[in-house]
Amino acid sequence: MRSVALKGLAARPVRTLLTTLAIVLGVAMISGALTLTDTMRGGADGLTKAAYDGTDAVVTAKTAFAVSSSDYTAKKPTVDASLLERVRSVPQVAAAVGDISDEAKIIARDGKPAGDGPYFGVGFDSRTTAAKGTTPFRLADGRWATAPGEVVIDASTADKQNYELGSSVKIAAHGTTDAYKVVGVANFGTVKSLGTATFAVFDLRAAQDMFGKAGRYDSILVVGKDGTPAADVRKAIGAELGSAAQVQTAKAQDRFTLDGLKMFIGIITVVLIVFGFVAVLVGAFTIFNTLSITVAQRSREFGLLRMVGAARRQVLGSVLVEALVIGLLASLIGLAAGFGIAKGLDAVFSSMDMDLPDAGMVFAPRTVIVSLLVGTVVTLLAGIVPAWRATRVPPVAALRDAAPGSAKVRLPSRAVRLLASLIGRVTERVGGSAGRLARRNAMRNPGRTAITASAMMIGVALVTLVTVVAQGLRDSTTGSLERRVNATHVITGADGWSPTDPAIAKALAATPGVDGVTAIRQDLALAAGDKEIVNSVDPKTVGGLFTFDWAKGSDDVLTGLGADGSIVDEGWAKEHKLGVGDRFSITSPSGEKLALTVRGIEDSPVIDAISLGPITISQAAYDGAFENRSNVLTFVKAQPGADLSAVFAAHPDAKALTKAAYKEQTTADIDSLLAIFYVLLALAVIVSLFGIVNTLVLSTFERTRELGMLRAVGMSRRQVRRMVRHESIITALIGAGLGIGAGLALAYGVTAAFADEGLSFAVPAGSLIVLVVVAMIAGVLAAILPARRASRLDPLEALAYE
Amino acid sequence: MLDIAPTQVKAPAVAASAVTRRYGDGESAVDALRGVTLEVPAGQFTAVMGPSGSGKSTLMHLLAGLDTPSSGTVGIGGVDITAMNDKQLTKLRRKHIGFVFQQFNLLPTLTAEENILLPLSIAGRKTDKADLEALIARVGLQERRDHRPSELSGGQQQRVAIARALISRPTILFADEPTGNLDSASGAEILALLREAVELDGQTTLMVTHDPRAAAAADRVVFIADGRIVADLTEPTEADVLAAVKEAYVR
Repeated sequence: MRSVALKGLAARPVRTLLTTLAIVLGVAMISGALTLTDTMRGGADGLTKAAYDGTDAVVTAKTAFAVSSSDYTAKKPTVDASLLERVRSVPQVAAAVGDISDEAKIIARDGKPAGDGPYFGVGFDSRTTAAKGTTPFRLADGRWATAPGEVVIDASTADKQNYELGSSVKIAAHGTTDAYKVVGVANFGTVKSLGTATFAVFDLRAAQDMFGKAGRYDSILVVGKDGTPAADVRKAIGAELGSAAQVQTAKAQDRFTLDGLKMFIGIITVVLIVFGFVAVLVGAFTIFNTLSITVAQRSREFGLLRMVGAARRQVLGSVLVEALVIGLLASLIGLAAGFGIAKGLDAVFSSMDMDLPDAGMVFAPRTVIVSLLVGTVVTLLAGIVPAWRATRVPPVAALRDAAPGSAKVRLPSRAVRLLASLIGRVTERVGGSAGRLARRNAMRNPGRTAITASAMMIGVALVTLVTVVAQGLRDSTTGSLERRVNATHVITGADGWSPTDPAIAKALAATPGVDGVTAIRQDLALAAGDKEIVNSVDPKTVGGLFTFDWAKGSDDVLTGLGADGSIVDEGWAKEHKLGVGDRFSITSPSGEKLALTVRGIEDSPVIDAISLGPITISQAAYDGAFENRSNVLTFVKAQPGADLSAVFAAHPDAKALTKAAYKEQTTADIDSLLAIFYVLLALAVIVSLFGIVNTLVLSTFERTRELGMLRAVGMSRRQVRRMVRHESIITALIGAGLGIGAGLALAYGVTAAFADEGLSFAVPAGSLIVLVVVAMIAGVLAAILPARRASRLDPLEALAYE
Repeated sequence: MLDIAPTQVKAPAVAASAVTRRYGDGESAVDALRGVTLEVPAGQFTAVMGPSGSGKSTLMHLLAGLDTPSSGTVGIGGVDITAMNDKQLTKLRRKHIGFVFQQFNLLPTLTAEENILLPLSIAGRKTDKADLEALIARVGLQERRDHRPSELSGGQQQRVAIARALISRPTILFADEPTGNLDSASGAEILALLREAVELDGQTTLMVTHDPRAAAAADRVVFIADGRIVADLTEPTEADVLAAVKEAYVR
């Protein structure tokens, strides 16, 4: 029995291949995602090793709560330089050095900061020889910086900007931009840099002065004595310092924010796998349809098998074996293809300067198991219903003409038939006789058309959903920015996101033609047991420049915010049962406690483009407790014609955007996210194309005799091709129509759920029209092969066919 | 019977000249036709008979341009079709050839009337309403014109097929075992319809059959065996046919 199934597959290699392709893509996506991210993770681990392995302990200031490297708003407190001697006095310590890890932007030849961040500005003590082991930097050329005005830059920036030893390079740090002489070029471990990050390594003493940390260090890096376990070294230092500081591993401190990289890798993994699963699901429809059709076509064969004594169970088994083989074959091909995808994506990342140390492709056993399992199990599941149907074929079917019985037409199929009929009217108009026959063909097996179209529907529905929600987000973002930002200009880092030094706001305020400047700062606080982002506004200057969407309160709250006043986000207030007048307290990383009273409640959008935290306090209160003094956003009200350029000439690390440009930039992020989603969903649509191809090929095969007759009564090859093509277009358009409908319904649900947050529902007519056109093109593409096969059919063969 | 046949015979409607057809090559090659010359004058109803494997179907396929002879020529309406390409053959079929198949071969998705109009619709030709009505009346399908093939009996389906073949007024109508799938009453009806087309319209018809009764309805019966014409009877009776069959089949 089993060999019957296998021989059937082998006898029709083209069909088998087409069927497997449906699953191959999805499995390839999954295996590619796993391989790629394993490889990237391997690279990231390599970086972690290079960065932190030589350091046995890190001493930092004690924070009131654990602050991790991914808490990007948090400014960690520094330690007093005197601590270094105490650390050195610990017997288990072989060497200890002070470290400065701050931000410094190397200005590129085009006058803008090089790279896209993070922009590491490091103070390195090159005089302490034993310190070499604590740094990941490896000099590729030149020497370490030993005096103010000297710098070592990363090899990636040096290469790209053509900076070499002796070059004078501008670097913006701590509010000033000065020229530095490049005295060395360094690698980070084995790579030239960390993705789009840049490094400027200064002399430690010079860095302390540059970053306003004279007499202080960000951390003290410790190398333990040979033979002393790192944990013991940490314990000994902890005992010596007591509560004065905290001692942790370099990995836990993560001063190069490598955890962020790993988080990013994690997100990529999840996104790629989710879309892989979508593709597999769509593929399952194709498998289901293909097996259903082939089972119907082989009813005579199954009848014969039953007649010669096969039990129902054996018939079931034979179809399931077929599904199993298809699934296994597809998974194996997919697995291999995934390896190729991973390689390709890796190359893409490399070209985007996001390359990681070459750890070689990581092909984990888990990848193999997951890929094979998903592909095989899904295919097998899709084969169950067709297999069960095969068991219902009575032995007498062997004697009957192999006319596939017209099963009951269920309601969904009926709806599809109606759609086919409606869309077919158009093709009938366009395609004449061929178009009319195409319409009838699409209507004759509505169940088959329905499943073929459903595969397409899933992809289109997701595209529609994403488009509508993105449009809603875009509208809500633009709307909320329009309402909240009343400034003429918004100042951000030159990259569009990084904070700017307060010196820039000060310089702007002093510029002629500027009527007002206000800034928002952010840091991290512990509030009600959770880490929350705290924002500051300056009540003296914020009026007329920036405001909130008020749930409770008014602009007067903002300008009258006292030392203990706060504005909280509505969701957060609800979560913590806070109303206007209620009191609560927050703690800064350095341990300062602030007692606050709720003065107003604001309503921020679902995805707040400004990324404000839930708690807003006055700048005076903020500055008293928090250390992060950089301005996340600076709002400027300038008279028309006011010239701000002098400020940005002096501060090339910042830029001014007009309000309109700022709104555009914020929504551009949504657009690029959307683009990624589109690319991934395109995969699902491609898989559904294979479904259409498959169904058409099978239908053509089923209609061989009809095609022969049509050719005999005068149908030209072109007309045959047109007929198949139109049927394909009808099917694709049904899929698109149903998908758009389902997508709109889903989107309506999603937007309704977030309506409170200002997410609106709008039908993006333009995008939907594009979608329909794409579906039509997809239909045309899917028809190429089946149409050619159909038109090449020898009319004579068609008549002789039995 | 022949007094109704057109007298102004010029070129034969279809002619085969020394055609051979060999399938495959080498040891396994099969000669289906070993040199057949046959002319079917316009207005004649010719039946081709022969045992299975005699080459009668091959002959029809060659005459209809569905297959190409290994040697020799085939002409329709005086035009050589052996060298025609697919496009020319398609045009030829639209204008000059009608087909009736043993399996009816109607499109299940179309109604009886739509099936009848299919060749015109494919060729993009206008329908003459009166012609259509007359044809539907002639095949007796006025009541069933809006029915799908699955709702028609075998005989009715074959009548639709005949109307479909006649609608384009072809130079020659080919019928491949038109009664092969029918009971004798329905078969007789079909033969009567074919006969009627010959007599009323002067429709040149070539029918392949192995039913002596069907063959007896023709003006002329050509017997084929082993790829050659072995007998050619004009206006035979059923008895003549049976006798010839015996002789031909026994060889």
